[in-house]
Amino acid sequence: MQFSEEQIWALAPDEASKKAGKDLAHPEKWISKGANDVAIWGECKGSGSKPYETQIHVETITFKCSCPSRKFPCKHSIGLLVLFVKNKSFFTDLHPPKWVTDWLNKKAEQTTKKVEQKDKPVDEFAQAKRLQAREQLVENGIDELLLWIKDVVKNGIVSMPENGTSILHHLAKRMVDAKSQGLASILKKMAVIDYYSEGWEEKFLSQLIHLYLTISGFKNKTHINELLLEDVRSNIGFTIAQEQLKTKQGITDNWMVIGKQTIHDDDMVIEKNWLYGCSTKQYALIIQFSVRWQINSLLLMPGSCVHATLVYYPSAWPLRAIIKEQFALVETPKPIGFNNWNEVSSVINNNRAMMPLTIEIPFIIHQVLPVFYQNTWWLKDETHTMVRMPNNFTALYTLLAISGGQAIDVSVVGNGDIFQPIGVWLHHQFFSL
Amino acid sequence: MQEWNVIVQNALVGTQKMPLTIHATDSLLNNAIETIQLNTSIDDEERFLQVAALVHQYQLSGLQFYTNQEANLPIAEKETLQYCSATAQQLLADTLLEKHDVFFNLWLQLCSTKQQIVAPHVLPQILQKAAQHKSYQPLVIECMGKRGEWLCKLNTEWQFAFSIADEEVWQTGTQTQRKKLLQQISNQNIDQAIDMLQQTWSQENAGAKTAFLEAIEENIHSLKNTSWLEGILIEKSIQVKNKAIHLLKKIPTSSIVLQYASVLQQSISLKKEKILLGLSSKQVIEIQLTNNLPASIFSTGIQQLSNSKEFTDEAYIIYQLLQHTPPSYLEEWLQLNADTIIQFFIQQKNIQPYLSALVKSTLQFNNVAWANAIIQQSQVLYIQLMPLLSQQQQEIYSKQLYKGNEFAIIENAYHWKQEWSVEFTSLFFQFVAENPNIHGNYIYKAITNIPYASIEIIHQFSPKNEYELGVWQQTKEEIIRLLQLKQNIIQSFQ
Repeated sequence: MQFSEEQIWALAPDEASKKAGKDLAHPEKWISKGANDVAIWGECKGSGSKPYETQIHVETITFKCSCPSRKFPCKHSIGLLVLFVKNKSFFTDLHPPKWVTDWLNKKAEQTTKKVEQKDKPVDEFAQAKRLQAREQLVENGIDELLLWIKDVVKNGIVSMPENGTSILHHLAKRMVDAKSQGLASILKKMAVIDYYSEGWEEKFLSQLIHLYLTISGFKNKTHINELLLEDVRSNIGFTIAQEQLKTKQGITDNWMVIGKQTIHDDDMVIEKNWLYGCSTKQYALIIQFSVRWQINSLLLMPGSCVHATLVYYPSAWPLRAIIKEQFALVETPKPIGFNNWNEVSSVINNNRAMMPLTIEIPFIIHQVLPVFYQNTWWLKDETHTMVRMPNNFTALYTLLAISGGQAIDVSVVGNGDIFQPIGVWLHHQFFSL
Repeated sequence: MQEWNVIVQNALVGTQKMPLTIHATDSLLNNAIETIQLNTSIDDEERFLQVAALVHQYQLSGLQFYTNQEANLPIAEKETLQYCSATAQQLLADTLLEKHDVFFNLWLQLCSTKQQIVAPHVLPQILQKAAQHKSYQPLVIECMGKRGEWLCKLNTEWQFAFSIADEEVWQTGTQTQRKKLLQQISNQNIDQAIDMLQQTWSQENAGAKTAFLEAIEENIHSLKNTSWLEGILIEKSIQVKNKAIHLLKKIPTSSIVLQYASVLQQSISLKKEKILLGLSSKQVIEIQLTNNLPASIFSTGIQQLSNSKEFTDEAYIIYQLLQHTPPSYLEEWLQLNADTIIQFFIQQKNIQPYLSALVKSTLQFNNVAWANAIIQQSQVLYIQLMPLLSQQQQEIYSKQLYKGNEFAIIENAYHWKQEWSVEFTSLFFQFVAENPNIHGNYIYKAITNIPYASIEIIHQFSPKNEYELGVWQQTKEEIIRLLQLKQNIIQSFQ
């Protein structure tokens, strides 16, 4: 297991658990400690008469603890894992007690059941019928959405600030009912536009066009490029099973995590990990969805570099990927990005013809200087070309503090017009923004 | 791009009122637009959407970033102080996660004492904290280095970091800034603060005047020349006048205090009283309001009528005069020391009710000797007098008088500047162990005062009730964790 202490702290559900976990990462807190290739376990003295039994499955990093905490992972699990990472020599017991073997056996049984389920022959007829039904639902949904789009275009978008965003929320719900989660997300994004700030018209219209292009692409599926159709389907909310993707050939490289963005959507936590292939110089996006308190299956720490095989989702501009196989953490090299914004715009312009839909694109760019101009912060390169940073960029002052008025290497994410820094390097040290 | 602007304008109004007419300068784009607009199989709205999508795409595909030679950012000056160690840096991050910023001030103090500074990436977090809590500002300014100074210029919320000349603040600052400045100056030299106030007094409004008098209140007892303050008693504003009277009452040499003292001197005397059927005698303090009562004392706040059943109207006047007369004057008049006088007020039943007036005057005139004498001799703990004493003295009395006064004594001890002794800490542990459910924020308030060495003794304490063991265990663990963190912070700067 190659996790660093920082990565384990990142698993803690909140700061209180982190603090409590730190306190429990001391050998004297544990009555017994043991570990083997499969699991780590320990008994921790709590307030009750019986010690808490804490166990961690090494391969899948799953936790189980007999404590009554509703937080997951609990402070005992965090503390035990940190203690193990800090000093394995404390874990002298190699033979798991019964409560550990029982849990491991149960897990193994569950895995077998899953495999059995997977091995069951697929009822292709039923599957096709399900797909047809879903497509019908989607088509009904997008017809309703198109009707609304046309209505807005007919009457003008000027009344949007006045009318409020309730219609957008309502439509988003309708799209969820129509199994078009992707369209619902675009509508939710439109609902959070500040309709009283300058330039809202362009933001709204761009999203409206994005919706229209997605709908048109789906309606004209037989006429468009196969890869672009995958983007259209993904935009609507069709998913591709990860198991299916994993059967495809991947790209093995040392992937550097150049930024992480966490978005909270009701109870759902969406974690976007932006990666950069050190040899292939390709960028990738690993998205993880989780419900609050639930642990993500992948631990990707910004600034670290992992040797892994990635498989991209089919796309006209492949970015989203899954990790097919993760081997080990490797030393982080100096990243090689773009030297100026013109190099970035040239890549965007070349790819735009293949990808008319709006997507977020990451880049590493060297030696840019944050500057304030016309009431906006920009990133300016040595050719005096500059791009805007978003007005609501919360880590602006961290970026400025690190820069100190000197040009810096940054990783950014944007859609071509505005780029948000997500990481910055200072003397080879990476800071997540 | 002009075409895109046309699209946006049309979109605002809507196709119903303004059908789209657009001509693109690029002929290829124009041809494509025309093809869409000639398509009669779709409605106006769909035609608009297709043209808008085309123009939007055209605009994005020819992406050209903005160029500007002038836009620039000044470079931060080179640091002259060393950055703190990586360990100290990590501990600052841990400290910023703690409840109630418990060790933030300690960390800053140590960093500043060592003449070190924080790493740049943490600056926004600590500057924001200082912007929200003014008490952190002086230390944050000392630990932020040149980078911090540079960064503060970029954020209007962090302007506290710039020292503007005192004169400029006094002449042009906001009322809050001016009040703060006046307070600072009065801490160093009250006469200078009065001089400054005099310069602009006539131009100030009543609200500002009252606020500025409030600012100098803490140090007013050390004012030598009271003539200016006496002079403002003719102010029209009742609010200002009352505030001036309030301040003059705190100055032993002010005319108000001297007048009160004069009346009191005529009303208080030492007499011999016969006891045991006249076979023996003892000294007593006699208090009898003089007939020679100047009416002017009532215009400076002395109430004529008692609002308490305990005092007659006359006794109440005496009570108020005692309250506003420096206790040291009694020593002079009665030719007795503080201890003896207090003994009289404790033992002599008819004057016992005046003891609390002496406590008030001791506090008002910061008389350490009287504070010592009262605390030492009185059965009642006058906790408000404790801050007048040295910490060492306070700790001695706190231990002596602890029983029955636990809450008050612990609450007072939070304000001690130095760490508690292990012996006093054991009293605190005992208190928290015996009351594990009421500790609340106690441990967070106390932790900076608790010495690390007391980690050895904490296990000696336990609650009286077994069912409270669990809570005490958690509290104990939290105290140990915090002490460990505090020790690590201290060590990281050694």
